[in-house]
Amino acid sequence: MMGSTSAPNEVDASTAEPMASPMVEIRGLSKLFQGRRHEVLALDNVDLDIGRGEFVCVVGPSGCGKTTLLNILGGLETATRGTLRIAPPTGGRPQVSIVFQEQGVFPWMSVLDNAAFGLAARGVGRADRQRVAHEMLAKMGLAHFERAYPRELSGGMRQRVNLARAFANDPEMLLMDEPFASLDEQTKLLLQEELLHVWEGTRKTVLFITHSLEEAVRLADRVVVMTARPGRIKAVVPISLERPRDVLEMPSNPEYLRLHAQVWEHLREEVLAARGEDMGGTPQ
Amino acid sequence: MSQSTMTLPRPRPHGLRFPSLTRERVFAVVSPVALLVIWEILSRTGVLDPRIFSRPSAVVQLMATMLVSGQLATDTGVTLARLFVGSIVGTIPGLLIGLTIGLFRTPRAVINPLVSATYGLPRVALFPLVLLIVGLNETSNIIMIALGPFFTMLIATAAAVGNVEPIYLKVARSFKVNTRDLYLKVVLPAALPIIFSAFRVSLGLALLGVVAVEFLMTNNGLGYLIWHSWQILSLGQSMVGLVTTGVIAYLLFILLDQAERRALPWVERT
Repeated sequence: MMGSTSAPNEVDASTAEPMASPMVEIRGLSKLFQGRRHEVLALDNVDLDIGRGEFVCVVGPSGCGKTTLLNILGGLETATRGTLRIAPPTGGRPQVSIVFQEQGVFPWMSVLDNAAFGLAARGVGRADRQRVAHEMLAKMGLAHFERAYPRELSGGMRQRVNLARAFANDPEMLLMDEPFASLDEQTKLLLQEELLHVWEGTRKTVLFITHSLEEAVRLADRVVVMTARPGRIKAVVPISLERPRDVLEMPSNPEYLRLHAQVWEHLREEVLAARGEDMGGTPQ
Repeated sequence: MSQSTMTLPRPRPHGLRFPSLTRERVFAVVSPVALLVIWEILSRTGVLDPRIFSRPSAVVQLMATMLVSGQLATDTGVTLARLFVGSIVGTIPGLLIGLTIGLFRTPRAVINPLVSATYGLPRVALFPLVLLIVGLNETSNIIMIALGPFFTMLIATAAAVGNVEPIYLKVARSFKVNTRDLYLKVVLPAALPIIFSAFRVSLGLALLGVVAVEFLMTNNGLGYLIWHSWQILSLGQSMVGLVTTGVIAYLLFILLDQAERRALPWVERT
């Protein structure tokens, strides 16, 4: 139908996290959407392992099935074929929490109630969940806004509430669906910095979907590049930048620039392929 | 709230604040007063026939007399009681059925055809049917008043619940909330602004219903005062009834605005 002829790069065992017991094991995962006129293959035979504590970013052109992959991991959709194994949660924790874009914050709840929502859904008592939510909000610099409603906050602050809600839920793994996509460039940088900061403290496993190459390289341990529809894994690029990272200084880091170029090399063809489809043409 | 380097949200108003004189506020008073003054001048100079358009000053005088005699208070009380009971009798079942069919597929399948079949009818056309079933009494009055609010609340609530932003449902599902919390903590609050608007419309319809019922069926209340006075060509009294009804409507909607601000403090208002 389309796309590159190169086979998906297998994960190189020497560069990946120790794979003794990966957090997530995806094998041959496919997703077929039944449209009204024709079927759409969103994901095609995806294999991916994610190690415990690993931060994995998935990039790809729009419509490549990144979000579908996340939804399947989050239990919001089911795969058509293939297997998905997520390590069972320990200590009564939830397995995953999802961070959506900032429109996912509930406007009718105060910032504090929003941040405590996941805990409330799990039946954690009022005092306990408010304490945990308060701590998380304080880490996000929102301690003074707990009583405010989301409409009183800027987009960046709303997204902090969203992050706090997911982190406060204390899941084994965080799934982030282009959480910063609608924020302006500066706010995005600050939030990436804060996300890394909070993440360093918890070292939770993260799967982060983005269409921003810069974002992926800045944040990830490994960047997974997906092909234009149907979504396959085209390449997996380990990001060897030291942690803790300084997001703001990164543009001047030669290693960052090299990795950026490397990921772009993989992504470029796919973006062009997706454009061809967008414009109604047949990609070569 | 202490200051931080981040942008602070607008401080929430607390206590009484002196409202600033915006253009809207000034003309909210000036426009109607100007209309009354022009009216008064036109009837005093004979441009308007005072036998048809009673002067504002004369209406006020008559109103005072009727207040002293207690007649106006009685009619107003009767009308308010019907409005109150009729609104409740229509609104609450409408809301509950609307929620049920908005949330659950089977009740929706069962009830929707009935609603579609009856909603299109002009509600006044149902009056004879109601009278036939219930008889000519206060109960039938209340039912006829309640019809408008009932259908409005039912349809708007069902639509509001059915059209909740998908992302809210997705978030709720991703946190695995139980069904009860999904409805009470997510779907209902998300639908509440539209439900409140429907309630506003319902109240207007209930007022319309009260006046219509009092025109046709009763021998008391403000609607009766307006219609009966007109029939015996006591136009001043008719006008007093009209003005009183207008004042009730005006106060009711101010009250409703305040209630909405309190009930939905999180809604963005322009």
